[in-house]
Amino acid sequence: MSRARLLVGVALLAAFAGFLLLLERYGTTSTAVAQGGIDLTTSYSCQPCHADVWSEWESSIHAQAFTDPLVLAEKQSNNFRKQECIPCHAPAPVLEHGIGKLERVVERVTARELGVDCLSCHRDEGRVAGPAARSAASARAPCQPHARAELASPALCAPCHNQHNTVDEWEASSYPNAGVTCLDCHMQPVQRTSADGTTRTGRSHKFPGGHDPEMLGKAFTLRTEMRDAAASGKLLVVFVTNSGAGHNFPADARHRALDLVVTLVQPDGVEVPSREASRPYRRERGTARRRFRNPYREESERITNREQFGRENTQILAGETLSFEVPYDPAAVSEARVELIYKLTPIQSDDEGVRVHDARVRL
Amino acid sequence: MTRAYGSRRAARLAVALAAVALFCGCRREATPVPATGGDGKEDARPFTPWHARERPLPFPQSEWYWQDLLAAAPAPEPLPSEPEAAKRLAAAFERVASLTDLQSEEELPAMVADARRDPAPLLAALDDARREVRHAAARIMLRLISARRRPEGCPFQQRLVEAAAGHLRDDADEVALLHLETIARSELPWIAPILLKTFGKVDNHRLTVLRIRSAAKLVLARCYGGMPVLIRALKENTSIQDDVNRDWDASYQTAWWKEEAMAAIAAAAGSDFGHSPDVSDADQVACVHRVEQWWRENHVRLWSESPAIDDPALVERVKLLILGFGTFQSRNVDNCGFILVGLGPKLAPLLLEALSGSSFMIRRHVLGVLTALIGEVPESERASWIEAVTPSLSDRDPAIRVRALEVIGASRIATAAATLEKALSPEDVALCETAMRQLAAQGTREARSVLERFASRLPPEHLLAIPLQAARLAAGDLAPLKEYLQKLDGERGPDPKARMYLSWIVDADGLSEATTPEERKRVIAQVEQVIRGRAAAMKGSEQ
Repeated sequence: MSRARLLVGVALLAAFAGFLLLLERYGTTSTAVAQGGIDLTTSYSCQPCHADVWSEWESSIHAQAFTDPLVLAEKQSNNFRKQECIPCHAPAPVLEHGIGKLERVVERVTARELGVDCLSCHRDEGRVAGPAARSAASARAPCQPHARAELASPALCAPCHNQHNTVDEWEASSYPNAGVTCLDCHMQPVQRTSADGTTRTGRSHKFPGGHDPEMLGKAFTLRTEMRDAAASGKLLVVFVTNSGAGHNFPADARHRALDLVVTLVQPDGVEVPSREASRPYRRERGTARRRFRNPYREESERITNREQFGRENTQILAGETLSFEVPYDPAAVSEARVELIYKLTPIQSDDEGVRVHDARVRL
Repeated sequence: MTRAYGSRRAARLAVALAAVALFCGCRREATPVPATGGDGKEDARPFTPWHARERPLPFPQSEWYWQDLLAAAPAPEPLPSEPEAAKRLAAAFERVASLTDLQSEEELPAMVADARRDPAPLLAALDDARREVRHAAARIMLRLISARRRPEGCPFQQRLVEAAAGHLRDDADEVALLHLETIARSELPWIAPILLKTFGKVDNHRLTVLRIRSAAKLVLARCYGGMPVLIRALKENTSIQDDVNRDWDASYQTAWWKEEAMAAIAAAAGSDFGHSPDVSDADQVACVHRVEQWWRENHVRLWSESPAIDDPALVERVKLLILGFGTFQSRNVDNCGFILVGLGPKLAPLLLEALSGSSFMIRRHVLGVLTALIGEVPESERASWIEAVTPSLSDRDPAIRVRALEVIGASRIATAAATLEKALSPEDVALCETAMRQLAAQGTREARSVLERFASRLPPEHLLAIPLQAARLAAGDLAPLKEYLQKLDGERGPDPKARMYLSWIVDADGLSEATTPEERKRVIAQVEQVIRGRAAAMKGSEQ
């Protein structure tokens, strides 16, 4: 080999080394993270291999976190001009900024339209995190997931959801002792078929919650009772129990509301109007109304037991029963309509809300 | 040229290139990059220059009232104790409990005298369940603090301010308002964060008049962090009302709020801009626009004339607020960023110093505060801020790099444009998108040219293609308008991404409320009109 060829060889090696150094450096500063040939800049890369999970997620409210018209509305995030809403509605990977109740999410800059997406939960320091129990197929997957047990832990949900104290509320309930976690209700088991034809149990990525009437129906039980009141009057007592949610109901202190509307009906069918003042909430109809919500409390105040509740907070703790009394004159009314209306925002009208209970009671 | 000569030449060239490559590689490696990934990982620096990382952050992390923290007096005075006076005062509070407010006025002079001798029953009365008692206590406190400049003086004013600030959430509006008055009348420099916290967000539970009055007190003390709230208050019940107006904000006191707001604005401006809550909507809107115009033209000057932030107690509070960024404080409603922004640009030395700390969250939030404040200082000072944040552009964490670029972009000075153009590279999509947004906000001919050049290099299907179109439209370049509007008017509704980036271009798009295709077409036509008008205005101002 001539000296010149040797020099060229050495030079090429040196150039390659220099190139590697540059690549290494830029590789750590770039947001274009790649793992096993998969570009992890955005979750769009996940769709081709995980079409079934993608499809579930696409139908979830997580997928709509940044595009839901209700969130975009002027009096809500105002198309996210209220920037403090962005971190939870388009989070950068939570595993990369810390999980648990004391950690916070950071807003993602790119592909915010995907809302709470695959990489929000699964990207981990530029790699892909998968559930602790991995199949042989997942070990051979192009994205080469590594196991992170925390993916199944409430700690993963906490950076966003504990900003509204939901994880605190769950911790204060009997659910942790019973071994019931977020996943048991919001990510139920589903059967999946891997690329090699084997089946395994995975978790649904539909994340049902307050937007799902079926979930709402499971959250509470309602019963009524008639009691004697002073003089010749009677009381209709409505008991609402948070029998199915492992956190306060309605959850999310700032936005959700649950209105119990009782309408007394005269024998001729005429509804008895309300005598209550209309403030502070928009009221539309019904003889009496109770709102389950915590509307104005300080954002960072933790509410996990009844003693801590301010007088305005009427959320129902997990397992708790709250009652509401409506006095009536048995000679003047014959029945009552009892409705429970779930509202995603407190300013929704009754018709915009979801009627999760609607029954008539003979008085 | 012989073949041997050619080989030797090629070999020399290869060696030279290799040397260059190695040099470049090593140089990049040697670039100082803060060794922080998440919150201070592998970093021995203190959380902030003033707080050691060995000590855990001292705050409860999810149950926290900034108001209570800020209420604590920095040097509370020893309280006098005189059992006889205390006994009389306690008995007087019991009498007051069954009197009307007017009847109890007669009791107050003697109660004030006893409170001077032993204020313990007074402070205890603030927590009494009976409104009449708390109301009397608040009135006594106001009398005591008001005597500060009179011969009788006020021997324990810090204690009074502490007590008032700790009870600003009193259920009775009249009591809360008296406490606010007590705090403001103390004129202590460290009360500014307390007042700013009072109106942190328009939609919290706070009494609206308390928030507006707090803002007014601040402006009267030449802390202009209250000005945006006052301007919002003037918009109430007009066609340009801001998001203050919600169902639960509806009030018969709106005209009163406006008067409160205008009194403070007029003190700063020397004019009431022809304000009246009784004139037509058009006249009220015109008045608000005059106020906004005045504020745009004068905010930098007013802030430069505001008092220095050098009171040791206030400086300590600022450091504490900065440290608080490292706790569970993510949103504007519960983080202290708005308090620091409200204190104004004279905070800059402390904020820039805080960038040398290790905490990712603290640096991230501090950069956010600097972004909000850099436009409040004269252009001549902005370069030094940029110099101080430039090292953060090399931070390992993309969120820090993005925030640093936002500070630079928000400076709106000519030298920043070069940094923004340099960041326009798909290599770092987050930084690139941020650069586009900042260039869009510049809205200058140069910014349009830079974006156009970048558009010619970016593949049409690239992840950044839609934000780039939005940026160009926002900067006043109408070339992508037709294509962009088509994306908003798709068969299945507006393209979510195009809809999303519309917020770069127009203040409110109305698409959420457009439920039918016809309504959407109408809204899109309005959007088009706004975009065209905006572009014309930009080009007009350049001529």
